[in-house]
Amino acid sequence: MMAWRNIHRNGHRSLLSLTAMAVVSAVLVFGFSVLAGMKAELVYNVQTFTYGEIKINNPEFEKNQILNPMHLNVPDGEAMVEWAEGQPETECAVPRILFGGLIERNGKRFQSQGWGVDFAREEKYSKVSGMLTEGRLPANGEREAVMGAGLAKKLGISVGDKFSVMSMTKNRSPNKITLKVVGLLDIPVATLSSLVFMTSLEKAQGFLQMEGAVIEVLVKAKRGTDIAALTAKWNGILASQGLKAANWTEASFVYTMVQYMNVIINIIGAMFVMLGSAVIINTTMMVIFERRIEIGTLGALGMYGRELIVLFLLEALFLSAIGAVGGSAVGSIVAAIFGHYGMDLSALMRGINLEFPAKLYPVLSLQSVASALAMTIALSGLASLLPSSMAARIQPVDALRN
Amino acid sequence: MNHALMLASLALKNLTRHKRRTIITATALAMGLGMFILFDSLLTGLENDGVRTMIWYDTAGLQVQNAAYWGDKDLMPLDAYISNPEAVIARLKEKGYEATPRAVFSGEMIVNKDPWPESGSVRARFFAIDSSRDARVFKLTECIQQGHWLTPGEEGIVIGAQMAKDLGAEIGFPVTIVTRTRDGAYQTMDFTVTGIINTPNAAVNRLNVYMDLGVANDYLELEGTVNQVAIAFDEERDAAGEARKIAKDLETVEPNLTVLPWKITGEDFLAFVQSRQGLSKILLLLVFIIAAVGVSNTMLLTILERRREIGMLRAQGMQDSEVMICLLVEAGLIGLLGGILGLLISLPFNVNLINTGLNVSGLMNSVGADLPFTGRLRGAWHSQTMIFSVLMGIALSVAVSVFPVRRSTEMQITDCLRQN
Amino acid sequence: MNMKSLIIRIRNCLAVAVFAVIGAATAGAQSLSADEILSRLDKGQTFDTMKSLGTMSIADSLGIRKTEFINNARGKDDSFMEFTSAAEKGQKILRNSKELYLFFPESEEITRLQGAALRQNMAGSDISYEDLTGNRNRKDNYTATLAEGETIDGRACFHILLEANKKNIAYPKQEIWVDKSNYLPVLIKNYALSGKELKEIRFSDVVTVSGFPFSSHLVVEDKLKKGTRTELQFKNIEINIPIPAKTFTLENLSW
Repeated sequence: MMAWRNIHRNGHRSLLSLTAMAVVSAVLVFGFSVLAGMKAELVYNVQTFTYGEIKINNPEFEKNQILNPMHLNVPDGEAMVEWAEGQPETECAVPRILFGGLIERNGKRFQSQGWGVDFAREEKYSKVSGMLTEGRLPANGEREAVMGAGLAKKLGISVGDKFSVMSMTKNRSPNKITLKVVGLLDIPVATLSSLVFMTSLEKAQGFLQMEGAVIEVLVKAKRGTDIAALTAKWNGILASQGLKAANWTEASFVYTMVQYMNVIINIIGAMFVMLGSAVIINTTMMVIFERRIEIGTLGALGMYGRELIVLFLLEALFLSAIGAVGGSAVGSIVAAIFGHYGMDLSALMRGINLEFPAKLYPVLSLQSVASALAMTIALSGLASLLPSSMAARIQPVDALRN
Repeated sequence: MNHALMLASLALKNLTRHKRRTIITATALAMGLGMFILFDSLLTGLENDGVRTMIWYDTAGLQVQNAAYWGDKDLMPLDAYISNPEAVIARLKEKGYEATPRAVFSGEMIVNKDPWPESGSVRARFFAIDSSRDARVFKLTECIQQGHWLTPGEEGIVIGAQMAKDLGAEIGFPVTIVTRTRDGAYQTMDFTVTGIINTPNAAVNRLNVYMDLGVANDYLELEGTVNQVAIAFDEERDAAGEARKIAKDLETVEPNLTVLPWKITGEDFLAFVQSRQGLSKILLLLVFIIAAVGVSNTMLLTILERRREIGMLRAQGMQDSEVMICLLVEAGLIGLLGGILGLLISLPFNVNLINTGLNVSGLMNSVGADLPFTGRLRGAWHSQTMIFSVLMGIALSVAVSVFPVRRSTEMQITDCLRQN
Repeated sequence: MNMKSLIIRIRNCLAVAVFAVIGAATAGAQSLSADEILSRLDKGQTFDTMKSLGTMSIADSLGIRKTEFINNARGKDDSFMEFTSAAEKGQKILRNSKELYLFFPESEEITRLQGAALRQNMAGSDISYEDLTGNRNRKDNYTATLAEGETIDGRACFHILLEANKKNIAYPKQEIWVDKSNYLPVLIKNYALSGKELKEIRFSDVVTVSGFPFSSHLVVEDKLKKGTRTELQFKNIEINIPIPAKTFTLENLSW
């Protein structure tokens, strides 16, 4: 009760403390959401563009990848995709052909990677039409392609231009094809944006003399599936066909990179926490230190020692609770709004080539909010103990004299 | 002038009188700003890390090439050569640069079953390097994982850990390299694997094969020419400008040479590095907000506490404007103190971060022992940020104090005195 | 001396004389220089015009693959190849003394190969584009020495050792076994500067077309990568028939 009244009496200070708690909580909640968003984006990109949640391919392919071995393939791609789609745990699956292509333009040679994809299926898997910044997707079987914005920029190509690309077929003979760029893609993975162009699976298969084969089938499983178990199960079935299934945590290079990024993100999170803690502790301590006279008065009225500490503790807890709740609410709302519409980072990147998408979607979670709240309140309470216990030891007279 | 001095000294005296308050406030400021500096250091370090991985192991800061080389760089032509690399290197040395010659070429490496696990061939990028000077520009020798680095005259190769793994290489295994001499005649080299390196650069680990330049010179009939002279150059400096300077200088040594900075020689790699910059800015902003909060509320508290004092000053006849100036100067001084303190506090951590870095490999559960990077997060010396944070400290303190000071001066003196 | 012994004497003299002449003739043939043998070799492989259908079989660790083509040749340097097999249908190669042009049906422009790009292998075989061009200039590019004659595949051959006399020749060393009876190549071995054997080409199945001898079967083996070989089989060979000049033009590539 007394704590409550004290809070009211020290209007300004309380407000200050409260505001500090609120801002810290808000930033923490928002910050954690941004970081969680970064982690989620990383995983999404890997699963959509690089590896899938589970990848079905030829066991010899990765080892020889540099050589562009089209012959180390998944024969009868359509059958394999249909099989994958027929599995109960599968959410969606896509067949893909990845091939190295040499593009000659304006007398210079450029390395690129061509993707032969099933655009209809890609709609569900990677929301490919959502990545279009200009133009449209290629028509099936036509000599058309969409190009990553970065690659288009590198080559000096706009929608409507044609380019020729040379590659190695399944029979290890060269072949060359001229494709018309009908659209530009904003691929979220920066390296891919400057490297990749996509054409229809049918066209790629013809060009590379694949005879119905594909290089890989990527699968996304339904939520809550035990990926490791599923991969093992599928491996058992596919091994007899000379193929393998692997999930992305087994792809050491990819997984290691993701872990590396996660570690960095966690360290950043820790720094946020440290900073926030410092502010909370500092504010609380300062507020109490500045109230020596008040402490003296209270002492003169007979309250000291334990009771005093408890009083300040309660005050601190009250204030931080109110501040934290309010701040977390604000932080959550901001995170939710951006989580829906996405944060457009392009404004922050003037001067940097916009070859990659600049939208980040923060992920709000109960965990972030709860941690922010708990941290703020607990720290503030703890932080009050030191100065108040120091204060409690001051003789009332000393305090009043100041 | 006198007046100003008097106010300033008053401000200073106030600060020393309330030592504890000054110190606490300044410390709060210091912590916030110090954290900001460290954070920025880490992020900049991460950015630089990517660039360094490229410069230290692949492209070097600057490269001297024959003007005809770059257009055909994918073919790695030996016949677009630098006629007198030693003269070029000598001139560079005069100007204070460390440089090393390299002959790079493409070719095929053939291995046969027994002792190799399988027969096969890989297309690789071959680098014929000067065993003694290469370490002045590149850090490859620090990455030897098995066997040993190249010695002059030895007919051996050093390959990357990923290539070794893909082929099943062991030290001492024989390979046959098929390539062309500088003039285009077929040549084969029967060498053995003498070393395996594991660098933070994944491309190097997968594609590169290193051999001694002296040996390559004989086999490939280079006659002392090379197609690359790599120059050590810090990535934080202006490589493009330096490249132009050096190019001009070398005109008198040999005609038709170009000097390329790492931004060009590494352009394929850089897309990846750039992608992280936008996100870094957001995070920096968030950290800044927290730091700002820390600064602001400390100052606010301080000012509010001193309303009584302000009242007294006014009661004693000080002009409102004088009071304001005095207090704002105090705020500024605290800001300065906090900023400098923050710098000093962060210094030891920052230096440690820059030199040793955070060892994070333990935090990761890596599948397969070959990490394509050092597993250490390093910081970077970013003086821009350091100056910025001190200035910010001052600016924030002053800015934050303006409102409450003004309010205090607008209040009735009696209300001020009544405070508490 | 009576009449009988005189006739015997004269007959013996004549016999000796005849043998001497024959002996001289054969000895003269034996003393053909390496350069002369090379000239005859080159001449024997050069026609005013030549047309044939070819089948190329490429065998490697992944199995055997066949392609088919029509080949038109004119003189030493010009040739025009058109692939007729399904996978490569429509692909064409035009060659003259210095350059090589490729046409791929799905590409809208002609690919020109020169310099280092000629080092690539054609259609995944063991034959490089470089091998196709400028192979008729052995005399200019090499110093030839004659070694002991040998019998290869049942054919008596001259054995010639070639050392390149310029630094930019692709194969610094070659060994050629030339059939003594028709001056066709029987076996060619290509070596790198180090002396290591790179490729081996074996010729067989000699047919006679319009009076000219012609090897209709070639096997190219890569000696470094075990287990790969390319076989060429020619049939329907026509020699010195009229071939329109426009066959050997760029326009012919792109239609």
